[in-house]
Amino acid sequence: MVNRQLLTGLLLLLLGGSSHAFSAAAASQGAHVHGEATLNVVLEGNTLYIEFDSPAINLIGFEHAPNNEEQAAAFSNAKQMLASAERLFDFSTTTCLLENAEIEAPYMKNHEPADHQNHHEAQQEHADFHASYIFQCEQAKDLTAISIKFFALFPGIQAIKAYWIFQGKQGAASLTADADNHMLTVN
Amino acid sequence: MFVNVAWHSLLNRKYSVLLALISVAISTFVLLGVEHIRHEAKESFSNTVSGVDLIVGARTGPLNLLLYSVFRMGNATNNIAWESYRELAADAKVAWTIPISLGDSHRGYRVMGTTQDYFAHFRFGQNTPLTFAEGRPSAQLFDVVIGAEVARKLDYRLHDHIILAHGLGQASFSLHDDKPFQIVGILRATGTPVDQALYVSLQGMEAIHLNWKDGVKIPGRQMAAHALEADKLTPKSITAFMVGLKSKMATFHVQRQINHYQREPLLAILPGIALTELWQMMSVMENTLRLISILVLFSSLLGLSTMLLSSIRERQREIAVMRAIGASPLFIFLVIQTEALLISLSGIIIAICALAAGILFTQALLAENYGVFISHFSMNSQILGILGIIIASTLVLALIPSLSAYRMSLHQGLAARS
Repeated sequence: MVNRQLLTGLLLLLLGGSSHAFSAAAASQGAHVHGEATLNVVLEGNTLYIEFDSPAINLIGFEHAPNNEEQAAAFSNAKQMLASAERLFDFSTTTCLLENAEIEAPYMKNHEPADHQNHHEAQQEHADFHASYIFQCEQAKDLTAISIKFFALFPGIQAIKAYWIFQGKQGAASLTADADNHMLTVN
Repeated sequence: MFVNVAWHSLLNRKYSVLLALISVAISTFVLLGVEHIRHEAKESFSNTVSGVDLIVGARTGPLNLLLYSVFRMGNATNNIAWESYRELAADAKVAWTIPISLGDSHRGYRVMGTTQDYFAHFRFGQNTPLTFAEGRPSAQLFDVVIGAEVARKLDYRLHDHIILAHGLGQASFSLHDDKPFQIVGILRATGTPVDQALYVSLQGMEAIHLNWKDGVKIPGRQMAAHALEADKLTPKSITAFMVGLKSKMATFHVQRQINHYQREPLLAILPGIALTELWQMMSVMENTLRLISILVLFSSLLGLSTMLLSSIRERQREIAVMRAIGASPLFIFLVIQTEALLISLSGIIIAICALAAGILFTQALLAENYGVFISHFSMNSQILGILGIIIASTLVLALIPSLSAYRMSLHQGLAARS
């Protein structure tokens, strides 16, 4: 038990550290496809770690700091939906309990009406949402498929590239908005 | 009973039957061959690297990096600085690393510069470590460990001295002949590209290039081999390195960290994912090949049924005689079906024998030229399924001639029609 807490603590430390470095470097990185999101899934032991990454436009419909009530509502709505992990993933074959969720949204720093130049800059730049989740699963060996429910909640997402590592085995899958292609199966 | 009748009836028309048989055999051969090679090539690729969390190299495509660093195929990637490697390898999340330095060859086989870690940490197949058939890992500067295939093909024994060539090619003119290497270990066969390479230490790799400049040997600048040990032999760059992590949880994080490495543009790939992406790209081609082989099979089965149908005309009298001596129309129907089944079954048997023999002969060729290891042909559930489909479609297509014979036997008597 102590061991698991230690592990989770370590993991949180690691992820906390990562988000910072990531946001700094994200601007220099190229991959940013509108309509497409990425999902990284790692299962080791009974701990399931999921990372979700999407251009802001897929989730909120625009890619600049919210400038009116409506956009602000869409923005906070997206953050809320990302935080409710139980609505995003379905582990039909086993029970996995959320231990931690971290949502990182863009435009958080200059939330107040920015001066004109700043605003202009923000409009040109691509922005991404990042979310990470840690689950503890009861019977990890029974976990062979995860139903991904992002498509229904965020109609802006047309495809999800999923990369997975399950107990050391690596693989990839492309999920699309088609009704029969929401399952991430691993074997 | 009708097997006997069918057999003799086939013997009676042996030339057209033989042609139909050959066509069924060839099409089955193509179908099974495509399936087997597709399956085996995949296996061969995924068995080559196991237990490696990340492969890191210069920024290029993920597939290119994977193919070059692991399979030694495709275009050479740029080198990466030794300092970057040392810095990333020292990360707390990294359990082990295997540096790889490629570029030289020995009689057509690649020479790979690496460290002892290669023999300790590299895994293939189902997490199988490398083992030595003879000898031990290289410890001295001019020690070399050779793969099983290299030892077998070039007939090398332990403690032989060999000379490495600069660059690639069977007959390279620039040889590192001033510094021979001694074979200290021979690896056990793995059935992967590991068998087809020679392994020296990174320092050894550096040492043989020490008094070279711009890719050519400088005459008169000979250095005694024993004087080298003292010299500075730290490599300036390597081709790529493999990473094993303490926890898989950190894989994507470390990947990102490396991809955003500030001092040098680097690329970290997950080998399993890069391979999956390769299969996804290849799936169009695979499906095309499969479709073509299915069409070939269909046309040859159609040919078989045409052959039987045209034979029915010649056999009007034969059928009438059979009817006269008491054979039921069902019997006639079954005789024709059995004939089709016999041809198709013998075609399958011939195809399987030919395929097994063909694979046996081309195995070595494929392994040497393409690094693809195809194992012996063996029956599995998928192959059995395909065979089942072939037989079922034979029976369905043979309905055309056998129903025609059935109808004829119902209506016609002994008298020839015209």
